[in-house]
Amino acid sequence: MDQKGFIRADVREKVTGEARYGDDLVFSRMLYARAVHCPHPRARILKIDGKKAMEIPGVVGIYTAGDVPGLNQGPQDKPMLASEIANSAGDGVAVVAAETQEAADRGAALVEVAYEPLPAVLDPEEALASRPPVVLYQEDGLTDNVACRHRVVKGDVEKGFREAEVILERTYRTQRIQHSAIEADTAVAVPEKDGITVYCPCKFPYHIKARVAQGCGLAQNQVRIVQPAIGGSFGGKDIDIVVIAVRAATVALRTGRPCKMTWSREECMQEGSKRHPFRLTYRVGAMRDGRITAIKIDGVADAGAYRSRSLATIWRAAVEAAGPYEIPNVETDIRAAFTNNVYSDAVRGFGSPQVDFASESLIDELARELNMDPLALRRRNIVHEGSVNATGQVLTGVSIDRCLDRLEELFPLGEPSVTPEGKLRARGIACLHRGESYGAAARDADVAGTDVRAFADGSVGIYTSISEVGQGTHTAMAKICADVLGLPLEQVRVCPVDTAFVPDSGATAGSRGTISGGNAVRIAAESLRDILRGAAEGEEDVIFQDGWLCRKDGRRLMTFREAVQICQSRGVRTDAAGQWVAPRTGWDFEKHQGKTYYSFSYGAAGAEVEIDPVTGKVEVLDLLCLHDIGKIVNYPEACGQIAGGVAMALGYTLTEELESRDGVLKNKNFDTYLLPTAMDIHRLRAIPLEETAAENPLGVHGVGEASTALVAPAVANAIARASGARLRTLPFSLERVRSALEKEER
Amino acid sequence: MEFLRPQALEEALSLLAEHPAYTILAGGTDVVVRRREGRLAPEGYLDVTLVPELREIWNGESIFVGAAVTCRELEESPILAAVCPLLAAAASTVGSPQIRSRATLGGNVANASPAADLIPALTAADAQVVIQGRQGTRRAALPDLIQGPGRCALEPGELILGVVLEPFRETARWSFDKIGRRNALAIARMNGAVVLEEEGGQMRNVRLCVGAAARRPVRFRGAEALLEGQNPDKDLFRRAGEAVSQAILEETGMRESSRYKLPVAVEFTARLLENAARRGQA
Amino acid sequence: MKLEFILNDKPVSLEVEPDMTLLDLLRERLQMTGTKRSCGVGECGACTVIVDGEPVNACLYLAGQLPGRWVYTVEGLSKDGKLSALQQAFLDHHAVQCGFCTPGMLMSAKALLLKNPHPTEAEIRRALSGNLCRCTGYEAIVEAVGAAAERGSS
Repeated sequence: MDQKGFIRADVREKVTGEARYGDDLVFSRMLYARAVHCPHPRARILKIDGKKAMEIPGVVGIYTAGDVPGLNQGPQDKPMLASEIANSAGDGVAVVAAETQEAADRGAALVEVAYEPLPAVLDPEEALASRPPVVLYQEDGLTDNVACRHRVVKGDVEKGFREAEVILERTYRTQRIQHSAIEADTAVAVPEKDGITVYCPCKFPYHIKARVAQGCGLAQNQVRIVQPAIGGSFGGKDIDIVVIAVRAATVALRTGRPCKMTWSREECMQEGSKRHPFRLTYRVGAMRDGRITAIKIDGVADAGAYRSRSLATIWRAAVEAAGPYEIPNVETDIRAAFTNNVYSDAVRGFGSPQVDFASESLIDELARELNMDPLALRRRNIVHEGSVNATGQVLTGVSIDRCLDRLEELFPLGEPSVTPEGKLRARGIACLHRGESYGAAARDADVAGTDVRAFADGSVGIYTSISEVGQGTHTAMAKICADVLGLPLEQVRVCPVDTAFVPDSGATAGSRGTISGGNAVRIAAESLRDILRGAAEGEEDVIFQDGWLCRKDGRRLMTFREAVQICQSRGVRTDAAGQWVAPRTGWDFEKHQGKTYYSFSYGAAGAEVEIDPVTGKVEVLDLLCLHDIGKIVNYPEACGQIAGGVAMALGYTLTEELESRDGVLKNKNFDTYLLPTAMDIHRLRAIPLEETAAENPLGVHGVGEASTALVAPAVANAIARASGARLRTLPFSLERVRSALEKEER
Repeated sequence: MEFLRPQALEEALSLLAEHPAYTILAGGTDVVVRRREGRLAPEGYLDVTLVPELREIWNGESIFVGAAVTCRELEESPILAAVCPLLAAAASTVGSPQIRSRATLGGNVANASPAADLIPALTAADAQVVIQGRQGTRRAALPDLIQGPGRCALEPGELILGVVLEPFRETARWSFDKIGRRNALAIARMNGAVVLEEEGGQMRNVRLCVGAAARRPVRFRGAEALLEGQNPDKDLFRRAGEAVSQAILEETGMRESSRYKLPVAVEFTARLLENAARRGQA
Repeated sequence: MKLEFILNDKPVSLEVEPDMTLLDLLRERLQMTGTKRSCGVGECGACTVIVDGEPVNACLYLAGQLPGRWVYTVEGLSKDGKLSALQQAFLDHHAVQCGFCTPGMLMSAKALLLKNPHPTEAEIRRALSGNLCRCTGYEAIVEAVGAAAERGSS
């Protein structure tokens, strides 16, 4: 395995400060915009008065829902601007545009909005009760607050529980968190002669394009999305960007001037989408020897006020909730509720971090109940090659056994200990299976288009809308292409993402960038190679290496550049399109069974904690996270993906929590929403493995998200082993840990 | 927008008298944040960072630390390392390196946040705040000066010059500790400082302050009295902690955070005392 | 007010409002966008620059306090198109993902190495503790700073 890897193409400009991010862009005559936000979780908007705001020098206009040129709000969607009723605190109700950001800010503060506060429902369980205080979308014909529901049914759980010798029932809760890309969400809309160009960071340019067209009342061929450098996504920068882009575009179209809207950090916090909080109740039955006979899972998630990608999140949660175990009888039922809380959307990992916290905590609780070693209990139940998982899918390419072997070797559990200062130490583990890419319930087809073009000077350009959000995917794609064409990496470049030129490659989500985008590049590059072979007429078995077309014995025939020029002189196009179409999946909504994802990836993690019993502070001294990613394209960057996911998960585990009072978020900035700092991570070992090649031509698994799912249960299990205290609610704050320790003492 | 930058103390005081409503500015780490949050709309600024007297740390009979000395300077001061390492230790836990470059001792006092990190250390060090007005200077102990969250009892036209404190003696034992939710950029969930003198194995002149626990800085006289003249002892430390916890309850009443803070205060205080006593042995 | 200060070794003179932040001054007035805006309250470090040798959050530094100061930003790190050892170490050690925290990280690291050319890992972590990174988990960044320090000494 080449552990050295190669340096990314996009980083040089990032260390010099030359990289241009959305908020760095300036256009001539550009306006600046700021939104006015609703302070109530649910309210009727009676009147919006902008007179005072208009008096501020530099303010040029105030725009409300009625000014949005196209569709302001689809059914249960987040509105571009709330029109009659705002359904959550933070919703934008008006936009102030001005010559300077300062004037826009001052103007926004002076817009007077009269609200009639309405009854709200903030607790998802209450929202799903038989008589909820509010049904949010009655006007759309909904009779309840169910945003979506997914079930998985296998075997007969009641029979499984009858067979069981031990039955446990436990409830776990996860909190609302935020993507927290350090770059705030932003968009610049520039009116064109016949349409609009929007410069914005995003993870799914064609989705933004379609939604901006819809919001602006334009055809899709009139909307161009251009990506500047992107300062992180983590599952965000999707619907939030749609909203910002349409607001900026509204101003741009109404004034004929470019308009930039960059959310302040406070706006990102107050209005931006969040990770779904879950309540998960597990009932598990097992034999004394550790064999699990049945598992029943009931879950409720908080979708917040709008649907967004709740469907994909809840679906993934339901599919993965029973863990990487072969259990004969499974019943999972997870519902997401509409509430008047800030809306939930995909956050790096979709539903995995929530259910993995629950299921992997549960396994350790069961191990303790059975007086078994946690690793042994896992080995007793894990899926193997040919196992039938909870959804009835026959599994292939299973490597969780080897992940656990490596974990045991690198991170033996050992015995709990107490330091001389009285701090409690122990290790804990967790493991996972994770469905690859979109999955069967997705609305979007899992396809990715990519073009590869060879130019007369021998350079090659890749055209894709897989987005470089920081993960290094563009350099990985260039490497894949360069390998197929036998070119040095420097000769291949991924061109800037601009929907005027690049094909639709789908979302950079579900850890599909390298699988879908990479395979599409490979297909395109192979087609291009076939075309260029035509330059070496009469030769058979031409191979491409070191910038040359060669005979099989290595004898050089012509340079790559010459081949391109020969083809072009003959009128042959030297470009090729690649289309990756993911293997078929399917779901039976009646039987609650099916082939959910075309493949699964596997991983395992260990955490060593030190608990201060006085303060309740948990230090995670050592974190080891290993993921089988099949085939590694760029080793250090794969490590970086895992390490970053682990760090994000550490924040989820210990400090990150959005709290609200009466439906209004209390956290307004990074002073109260606490991301881990460099001093909160002590030792972090990210280990990508090449155990089993994935079932796609490149053999790659996704690496972006799985690492976000294992830290919380590994830490919870370590805390329980160190102290006896079992924490079932995230995050493990000072107060929760201290309180759990007190209970344990009693 | 007027932005005044006096370069001498006299000038600063006369400008302040002229513009009592202007915002006094040093490192800006609080002023600029409050301005952004709309909690402060300065009419003008009086920048005190160029006043030489406010920038000094000197060691005479007492130690004087100027109000515009930054946390970084406190952290790195050789004078403080020798004669009041407690203050340096507290300063090193403030915010982040960037904040410590700018945040000042005077700002920490004037803002009167219950969670301020320097205040328990200054209180335990028995620092006197030196305040200058047009009429002359006065001195005040922190528990008298700070009357509640954000309420520093300065008269109009008064300026904090700095603090004076007595150098630690050879027999001094001290410790500082802070509970934060993370290891940097953390607002204290609780912090505390203790200074005592060890004479013939017995504790004397115990000064104990636990912060982020009450609405204003307080010395825990009851606990101090328990310890006075006694030998260091684990059970005694715990009883002192209980006294602190009881005093906090009396001061604040039962609040949402009491469920955590009251029991923690017991053990946190005991540990502060143990650490101070242990430092003596080392 | 008329403001004169030294920016990346070059004197700058301009008319500004004294209550403008250094961050706005750099980004909006001087169009130097390498210094990033994120939280605006000194909690993320994305806008870190060096003033008179100390790392500071540009979002909390008012222009009125700048006269005569020496300010370094990320744009001042490379000379004649050649990356500094620190920048090169960030590349070599894969310490950059989305890159948005990178300028601030570099300036905090630079401030550390100016004062302490041979920091321990703990000192590096402490020096970077005012800079939030959501991408890397900090490991690669800490390594890069350590490597730059070693290179500087050799």
